[in-house]
Amino acid sequence: MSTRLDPPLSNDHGGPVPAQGQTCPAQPEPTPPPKAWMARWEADTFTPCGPLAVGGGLLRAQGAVARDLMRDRHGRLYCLGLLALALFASALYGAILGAFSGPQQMLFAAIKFPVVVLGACAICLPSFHVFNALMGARLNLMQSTNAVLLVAAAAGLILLACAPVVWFFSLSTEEGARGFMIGLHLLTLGVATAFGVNLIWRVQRYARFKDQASLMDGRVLALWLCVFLIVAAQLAHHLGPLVNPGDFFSGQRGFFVTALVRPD
Amino acid sequence: MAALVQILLRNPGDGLALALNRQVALPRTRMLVAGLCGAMAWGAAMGSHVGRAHVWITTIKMPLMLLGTLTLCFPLMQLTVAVARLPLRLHQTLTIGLGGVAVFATCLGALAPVLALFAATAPIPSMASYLNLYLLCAACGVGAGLYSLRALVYGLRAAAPGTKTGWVIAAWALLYQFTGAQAAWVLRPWIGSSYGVDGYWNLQRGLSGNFYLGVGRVFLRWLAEIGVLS
Repeated sequence: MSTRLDPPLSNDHGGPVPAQGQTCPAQPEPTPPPKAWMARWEADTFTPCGPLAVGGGLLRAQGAVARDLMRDRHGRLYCLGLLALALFASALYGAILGAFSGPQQMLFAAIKFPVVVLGACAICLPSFHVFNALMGARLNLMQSTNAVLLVAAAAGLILLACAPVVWFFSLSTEEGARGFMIGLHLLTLGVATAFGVNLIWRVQRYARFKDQASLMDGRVLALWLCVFLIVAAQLAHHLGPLVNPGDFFSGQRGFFVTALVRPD
Repeated sequence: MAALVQILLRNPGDGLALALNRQVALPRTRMLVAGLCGAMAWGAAMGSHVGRAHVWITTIKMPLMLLGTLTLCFPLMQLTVAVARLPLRLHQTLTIGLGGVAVFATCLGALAPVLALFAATAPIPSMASYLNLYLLCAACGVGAGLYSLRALVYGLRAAAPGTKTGWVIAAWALLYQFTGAQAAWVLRPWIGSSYGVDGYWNLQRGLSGNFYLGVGRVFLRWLAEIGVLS
């Protein structure tokens, strides 16, 4: 049975195709000209040959990855690839986070940081899926999972790229400059997060340009990204410390904002 | 079940039309199960602030509250339908009501992991975290309530096309909120006392108390605190 839920058919250029027996509208609404990055994305081609190749696609062919996400192609492969990338990148960067406080903390943080990243993804996935569905978006659960993991994996790519530089500073900076190291980590994490957020935002805009219909709702996405960042910060605060030395899990309760305002 | 809920979320009009026309098998059972799952997840998240047995108790209490409120309100809901002369039979009103509850509970269920994180990590005992959690729950409840209201509007339009249903929806929403607030009050504690983790279950109080008088007392106390009342 056909409902309004069915995704609109589209031709090669993304324009809607009239159903059989229907006539084309006399004057279709003019499509706004694509931005430069959209034109680049249109030219992207990429076929994932395995989960480990997904990282390459995220760097070099974001348009092709976005189209695969929109059409739900290779969903399982992308899910595995994005998950593996997010896990590996966060574990490696976690180890660098803890490296400043010795080998034990390095091991603790390498375990805890992936829990923070993937835990925030898991906690926020139901709200992403349900609230996008409420706004009429066409994502199925696999697409929602991949969209959420896309943010983590894209941020992970930036963390991987920054890892050698930050690791060098961790090794060479003296104990007294802990504030500098925390600042450097915050800067790196901020840039990585901005990259992930920007990528998912562009995927949403590209889908609207391509299909004239929203894959995800922009307002839900904006609100959800705020919730995601707050959840990740709270999870990091609860599972912490990541940079400073401490026990693996103290179980201490508290709101992360309180710790920012009144650091003990 | 998942497919019907998915349609109900994306396009409540189509979803409830499918359910009303019985184009899917056991539509009310599916919506009931969806509502139960969502409500239980939200209940568990609320109870995770105090933890231990409180989690199980709130997991049971939350679906009881939602479905109990629907049961209490149902006769009056059908009466408003009759007064508005809408051509709805009992089972159709029940389907629309269950659809609204299913959407409400699914929204809450989707937000349950977020609430669970903050509830489980909020300091205890702390009045500030207790009030913050109530504020978070209230905000989520209002959001979910609005989406549920939307489902009711589309449901009534699908069941009785071309009729004016605005005041029926307003009456239903007011009735459900009015009764639901009292049901939540008598089944308290939800988040649990921040100062005493004992006393998870308040049946020993005999399900007594009144939400509106309680709110009034708090309001008067607040007025006294700020010096308006002596």
